This record gives sequence, structure tokens and C-alpha cells, in this order.
Amino acid sequence: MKETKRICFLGKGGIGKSVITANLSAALAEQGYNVLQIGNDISLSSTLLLRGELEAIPALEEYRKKYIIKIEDYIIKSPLGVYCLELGSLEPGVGCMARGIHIIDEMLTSQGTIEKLGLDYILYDISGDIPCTGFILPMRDSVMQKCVVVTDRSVPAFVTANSMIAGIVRASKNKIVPIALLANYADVYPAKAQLTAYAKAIHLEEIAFLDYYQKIEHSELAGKTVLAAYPESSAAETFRQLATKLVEIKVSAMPQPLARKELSQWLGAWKKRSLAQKSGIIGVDDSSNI
Amino acid sequence: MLDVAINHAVVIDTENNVEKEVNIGIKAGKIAVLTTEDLVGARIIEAKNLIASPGFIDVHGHVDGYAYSGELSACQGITTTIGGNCGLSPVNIAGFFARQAQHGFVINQAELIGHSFSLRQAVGISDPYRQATPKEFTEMESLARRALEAGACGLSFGLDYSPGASFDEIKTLAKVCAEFDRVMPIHTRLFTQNDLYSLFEVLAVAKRTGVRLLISHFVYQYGTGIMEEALQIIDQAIDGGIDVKIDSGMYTDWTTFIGTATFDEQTIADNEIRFSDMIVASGPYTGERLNRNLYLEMRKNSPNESVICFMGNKAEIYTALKKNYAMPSTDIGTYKKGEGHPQIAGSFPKYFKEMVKERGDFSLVEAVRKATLLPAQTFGFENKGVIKIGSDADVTLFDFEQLADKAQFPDRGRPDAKPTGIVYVLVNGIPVIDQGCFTGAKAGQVIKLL
Repeated sequence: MKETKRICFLGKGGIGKSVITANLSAALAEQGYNVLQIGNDISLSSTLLLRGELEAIPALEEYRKKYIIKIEDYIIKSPLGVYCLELGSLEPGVGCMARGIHIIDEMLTSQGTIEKLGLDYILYDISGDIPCTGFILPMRDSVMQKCVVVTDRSVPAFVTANSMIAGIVRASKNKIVPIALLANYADVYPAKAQLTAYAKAIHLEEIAFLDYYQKIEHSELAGKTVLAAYPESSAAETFRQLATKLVEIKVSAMPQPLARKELSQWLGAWKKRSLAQKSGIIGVDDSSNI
Repeated sequence: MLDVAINHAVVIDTENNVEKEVNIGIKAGKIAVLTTEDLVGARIIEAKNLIASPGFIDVHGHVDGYAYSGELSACQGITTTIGGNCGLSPVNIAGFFARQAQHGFVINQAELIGHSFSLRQAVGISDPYRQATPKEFTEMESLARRALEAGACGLSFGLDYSPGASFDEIKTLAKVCAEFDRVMPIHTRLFTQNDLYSLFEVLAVAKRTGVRLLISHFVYQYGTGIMEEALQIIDQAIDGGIDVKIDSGMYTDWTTFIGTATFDEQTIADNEIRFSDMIVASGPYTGERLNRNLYLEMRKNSPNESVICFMGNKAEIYTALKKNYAMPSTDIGTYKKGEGHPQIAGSFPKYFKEMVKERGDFSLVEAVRKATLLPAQTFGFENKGVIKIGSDADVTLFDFEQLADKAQFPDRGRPDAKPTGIVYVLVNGIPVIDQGCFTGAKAGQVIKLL
């Protein structure tokens, strides 16, 4: 039996995590892999670009009503061949997501779905900004084998990314859980330089960049992945390369995320540099973005 | 001649939800006469101003044949206790019953077969975080079957103590329990304090197997600000046809062995519990507040001593117990004199005092029904939970005005201080509490469900 790899995508809401995950799923499917993408956002929007008009019924919400569900009934095959599953969320303010992902993952295994669909990859697109115990539990209990933390150069996204890395590091104890940082809108000055410096400072071995492409934006607005809408575009090609890179990430050690004081110092320094840039000064350190 | 005559008490008729002024005649361990005429017997109990209730049934205890816990139960008015809860029980139930019958015990005992410590250990699983193998499933299944055939009244789980137990493991055993139509009490597992999926997983087991559920010490599980939501889930399950009930004690501060997974550092950190919120309940450090050093020392050298963890929202006790499917329980453990948690001595008197007398959450009759007939019906104890002709002569006579718990947390006083107001307790017609004093009579029987 082949090994199914589970990769989770984390990061602050609104920075393009679902768009990226959907495009990577599409790229992997195009390469001949059987891919299942799982989203847990209340809006059921993780797999929207893949499934288009096909309606998703949130599996966890149904489970809470029916107690027994056949997980396969909730999986939709998208036109590009990616399997899509939306879990839905909690009633706002009620309980903790904690084990929702475990429960679904156990069903996927025990009901034979993984085997039946011959899944090579399961991409979990996990919504939520605060790495509380419940949020980190799937990483702690080794449900996930790899994590991709998505960020951009904005302060809230960066702070969230640092907290998530800290959460994963803490939860992994002595195990090594490969983590990659994926910088979205990397061409926005000085994202590339800043995030490269950050990765270096925390000893994060894997960092990948995704520039802004108008084609990504347009395909998203059209409700499609860029691989479906503009398969020949350079944006689509970028996703193909990224997909290959991200599924192969291997690291030799866990990073050491910034503590609160260091984080404040970093943010202070960044603001100074942004101010300088807005005043027309571009530092040598940031030249990688030029 | 009657063995015992009880005259002038107000009798609680749990089947018809009324109070009646009738006199009770007892013969050969059974209720033989109910009449308005004064009765004469070998022993006459003048019970004016006392309430006569069917003996209380404690659905969640860990008495398991331990004499002092039997005494503390009797002193609260409990005439039947259900042991083997939270997955911790004798594995050889037939042997347990035989020993109890041979040596005698103060109150009646029914016993569950326990999964999470006992069956797992019996098949060689020592790591609580490990999933059982299919071979171990089969072995546990066969041990559980043997226990149920020997008359165990159900199969208990303490999933917090075996976080590694998979859904399939629980389901496999639940099927056996359902086959015998016995009750499955579950101490649910919460991976975080707000983990309501802990309820859905056991409801899913019930839906799949048809097993009858009793969710144990509900307030200890969900009394941390999520009670309303947890009860809504239960209500919804009942509406959907699942047979589920809950039990709860009168405290929010739970206790268990310091060596269990519940007290793992990770669990403590996840739930933001502080050492200063914990008090040692047994052993040489009884009454001491925990600190890191004492924690480490006890984890290493005395893992079987108990520690109380102070947490929770007191109002949620009442919210839970007000449900018509909720039963009061003690969670009594086995402690030496002067040790333990006040639940071991105070629970039932506290329940009547606070919920009936002080708060008026329900009538005395309803409070008695929840403590007697409802548990008897839940477990299928046919002749218990009622005072009627032919039923077992388990009778608790109490002075409602005087009824009060006296037990305190071990840092403040005696956790085993006996309550006031329990005047007579008869087990199978024999007084084990007589004019407020414990007699030591071994009047109990083992209850085998066959």
C-alpha cells in the first residue's frame, strides 16, 4: 500500500492560503497524483476554485447531526480531478475544533476511503489564526507529516506565521516536522528580503516565494484555479514548480521561532525600513526585491 | 411477625411522584406491607417527621468492595453502589462477586467491567497513548463478554485514561455491551477543555451499536463554561433516538490518581491548570497544595495517590442535574480515614440540601426519583428504586430539615466527615444506619444481571 502524505497549510486568514492550496492541488493532480484537499473554513471556500458550482456539504457539521456518516459521500471530484472535502466549522463560540480533523482522518482511514481513492496527497487547508492547543493538536498527534506556513510581509500575517511555527515546534517535541514558509506577494518590496532574513534568523530551512500574478487574481475572480483558467500562463507554471518543491521538503532540524521581545525588535526595524523606503531610500539589504 | 415496622414516615412514591403517609412493614428483606394502620414488628422504627425514601443508588462509584467506602456510602443513605467505573474494575467479575458474597458487604454492589485501565492492562497494554491491535481487541472483547455473562451490569470507559483508544476499539466493546443490553458508562476524553467532539465520538458509538450510554460525572467533564452547549448535544441525541443519560456529583473540583494521563504535563499545560489549583487528597501529603517539586515527586514515587484539581463553574452543577435524565452520583474512591475528596461523604445530602431545600430546583419527590428509580430503571434493577409490596427493603429515612453535608476539602477539614440528617438506612431490611449511627451490619448483596 502506498503511503499517503498529509500536508497542512496554515497562516493568517485572507492572505491567499486557499487560493494557493487549490492551485497546488490542481498542479499535483495534473502531475498524475491523486489528491484530496480538505478545508475547514465556515464559508466552505477552501475548495471553491476546484469544485466551482458543485455544492459541498460540510462533513463535520453533518457528523454532529447524524453521528454516523460515510465520508466518501461528502467528497466531490473536481473537473481537474482533485477530490474536495469541506468540513465546515463549529457553531461560532461553541467548543473547540481540536479533534475534528482527527475524527475525519480516522474515518478516511477506517472507512477505506484513502485506499479506494488511491490518495497520494491530502492537503489540509486549515483556517484559524490562533495556534491554541486545539489548533495544533493534529500536528502534535502526527496527523500531519508536513506543514506549509503561508504569510506575506504584512505585520499581522508575519506575527501569525511566527506563532504558528512556535506552536508546531512546541507540539513536535523531539520529532522533526518539516515546515516550509511560503511567502505570498513576494514581489512586494521588501517582502523577499525581509522574509529571507527572518527564515535565516530562526533557522528555517525551507522558504518558497510566490509573486503576484494578475492571472491568479483573474482566475480566482472567475472561480477557477489558474491551472484551469490559464494553463499555459507563467503563473500556472509557477504553481507546478512550487508543488514539486513543497511536497519534497525535508529538513534536518526544527526552526527556533522568535520570542516576543525579538519579534517586537524585528517589527520595529521593519517599520523603520518601510518608512525609509516610503521616503525614497532603498537599503542594500533589500536589494533582492529589486 | 414483621421483621421491621416503620411507622409514621412520609413515604416517597417514586412511581407515582407523590408523598404518602403510610407505614411500611418489612419481612425477609422485602417490603411486605404498606398500610395506614400502625404496624408491629420485631423492630419498630418510629419515624415521625422523617422522610422514607427508597435507598439511594449511586450510579458512579469506585467502592469495589472496599469497606470504608461502603460505610461512607451507607452514611449518605446509599443502599446500592455501582462500582467498576471509569474503566477501572476487577477483570474477573465472577471472582469478585463470589468474594463479596462470601465476606459480606454493608450495601448492595453492582459491578461494571472496566476498559481503560483494566481490560487494557489485562491484554498487556501499558501505554495509555497506544492503540490496541486487532488481536488485543479480540482478547478484550472476550474478557468483557465473560464479565457480562458473570453478571456485570455494564462496561465502563475512562477515555481520559486511555487517550490512545481508537474509535474502533470503543466500538468493538460497545457492540458486546449492546448485545447484553447493558449500560455503558463513559468518562469521556477531552483533549482540550472545550472539546465537545468528546461527546460526538461516544454518541457515534451509540448510534452505530445501539448501546445505552451513561456519561459519567458530567460536571467534571463539561462544567467549565460549556455546560449549556454540552447539554444541548445530549438533548439533540435523545431527540434523535439515542439512549443516553448523565450523572453528576455536587462538586466541580475533580480528583484522580496523580500518575494518570490526566495529570500528564502536556494535559496540565493544555488546560492552563496551575499547580496551586491542586490539593493532595491521599497519602502522606494529604491536604498540601501542589507545587512543581511535589508534583514531580508524587508522579515518580506515589502515582496511585489522588490529587484534587480545583476548577469549574459551580452553577453548572445545577444546570446539569436539573435535566430529567440526570442522576446524582458520588465518584467515591477508596481512601483511608481522614483522606479523600468531600464527594465521598457529602454528595447525596448536599444534593438534597442545595437543590431541593435551598434552591428549589425541583421537588423532593423528583429529587428522590432521580436518586433512586431513575438509576434502577437505567441499569435494570427490577426491585429497587421503589417502596412497594415485593420490592427490596432498601429504605433511607432522613430528617429533611437536618439533612446537610459536613465533609470538607482536605486542606480545610475532614473530607470523610459524615453528614447529618440520615437517621436510618435499611439494606435488605437490615439497619446499617440506626438512629444516625453506623451499625457495621453486612446487609448488602451482590447484584448480578443475568
